[in-house]
Amino acid sequence: MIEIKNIYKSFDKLKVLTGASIKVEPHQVVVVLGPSGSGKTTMLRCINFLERADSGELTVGDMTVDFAKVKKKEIHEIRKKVGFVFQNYNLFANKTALQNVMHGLIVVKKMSKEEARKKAEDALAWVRLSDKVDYYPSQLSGGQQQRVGIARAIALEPEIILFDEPTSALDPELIEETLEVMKNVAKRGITMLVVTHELSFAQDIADKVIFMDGGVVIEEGTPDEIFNNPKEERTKQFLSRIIAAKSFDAGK
Amino acid sequence: MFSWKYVADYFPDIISKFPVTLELVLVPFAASFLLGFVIAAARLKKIPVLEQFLTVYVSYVRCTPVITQMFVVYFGLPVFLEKFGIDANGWNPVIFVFAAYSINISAFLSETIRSSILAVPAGQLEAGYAVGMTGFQTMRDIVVPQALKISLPMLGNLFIGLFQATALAYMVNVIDMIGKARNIAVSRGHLLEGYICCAIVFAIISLALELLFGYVNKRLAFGQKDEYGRRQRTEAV
Ligand SMILES: Nc1ncnc2c1ncn2[C@@H]1O[C@H](COP(=O)(O)OP(=O)(O)O)[C@@H](O)[C@H]1O
Ligand SMILES: [Mg+2]
Repeated sequence: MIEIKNIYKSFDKLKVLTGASIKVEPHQVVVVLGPSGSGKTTMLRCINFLERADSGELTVGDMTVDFAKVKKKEIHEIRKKVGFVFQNYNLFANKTALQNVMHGLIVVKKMSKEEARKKAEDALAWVRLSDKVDYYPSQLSGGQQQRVGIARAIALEPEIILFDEPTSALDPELIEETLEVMKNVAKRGITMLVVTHELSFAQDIADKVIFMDGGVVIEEGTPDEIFNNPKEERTKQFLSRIIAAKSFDAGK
Repeated sequence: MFSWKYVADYFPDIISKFPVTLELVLVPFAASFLLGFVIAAARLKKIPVLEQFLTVYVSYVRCTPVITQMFVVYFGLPVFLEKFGIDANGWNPVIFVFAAYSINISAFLSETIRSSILAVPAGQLEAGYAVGMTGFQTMRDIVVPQALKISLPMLGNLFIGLFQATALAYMVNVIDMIGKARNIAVSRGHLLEGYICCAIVFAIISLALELLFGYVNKRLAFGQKDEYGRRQRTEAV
């Protein structure tokens, strides 16, 4: 379970998050939608303390912290409970696919090397990359790198995995394979908070869809409620723009 | 008259001092490596006062010839140590060369290490945090290895440069290969032959070092393509 209450974050004068609140129940998949610049990435980064929020409250599992007063030790504990899949993968460039997955198991989870290797091999098999275990990131396609990124997050068995537009840096033909893997992650019952513009993924998989704009949550509901009966004008506008862009892409 | 015969005659004498040259390279380089890391870390962490002091230190070293640095240490260090009641006058001159070259190389190394660490994308550190690693673990396992790879060509140049700079040590009475050649020149009157021996040794070793660094650079490619666009055959370590 993860809950953010009233999160605020500014970069100098720029107010990026202005009191957003979000809750994800165990085993839920929550999709966050919103225009570019609305603060989605910043919010995910604040959950993992890659960015420091100015104020607000964060609950991850049985731990609750105040963003303004959080201690270094608590940050470390929360990071261990939260997985993160980056838009641009961020695989460790000096490690092979297998080592990317193994490393955290050894260093953070204190597993033995053999145990970690077994677990990493399983995770990579699960994202259908058994034939690439000894490849370095620079030798993998974007879609393959992102699947390694997902395997790396899953192997650590966090309470929740955050996905920041995991397919937006990918070529169209590689998006599908990555979404397929993410659907399997959802089927395993792993709690997920996903920022994406892939409406079909949200429609098929999400338990809840959240629409953010200007640093706050504008509207939330089931995929059906948001896509078929959006209440807010801004949600409607945003959805029609995305759908228009998609059909333009498809028509090319 | 110049004669190759003398070159051959003096060679064993000269090469017998190679260990001195080797020591003049390895000791300062090892010390500089540690010191360079500490300086780079202190400057990256922007520790107040220390950062400013180190900026001046690095500038001093970069802006003055190594030979003046050597003399400053050779003549200055005993004066400085005297204030603490330490008599350095009888010390082996090698110690002053160690100190002078350590100061020199550590400044250049710290700059190389610092810029290489900055050249590693921020996403690598963030990925370490996201996996649950501490900042130290991420630096140790992810950022520094990549920074070393980036800095390897510069490290190679510094190492070879230091090797050649050891040729100045005779000026403070260290008997290395050059010092030996000089003694031979003085005592036997053949000026050129001994230095030719030195030139041969320096050239061979420098070339070998260049090949070695080139090889290590390739081995550390992390799967990146080599200059011919081929993918490297790299094994997991
Ligand atoms: N490190 C930063 N420094 C300054 N401004 C930033 C930084 N990161 C993000 N921003 C700004 O914050 C706003 C929200 O960005 P972001 O969270 O990336 O939005 P989204 O992911 O919804 O597109 C943008 O205006 C962006 O320029
Ligand atoms: Mg974003």
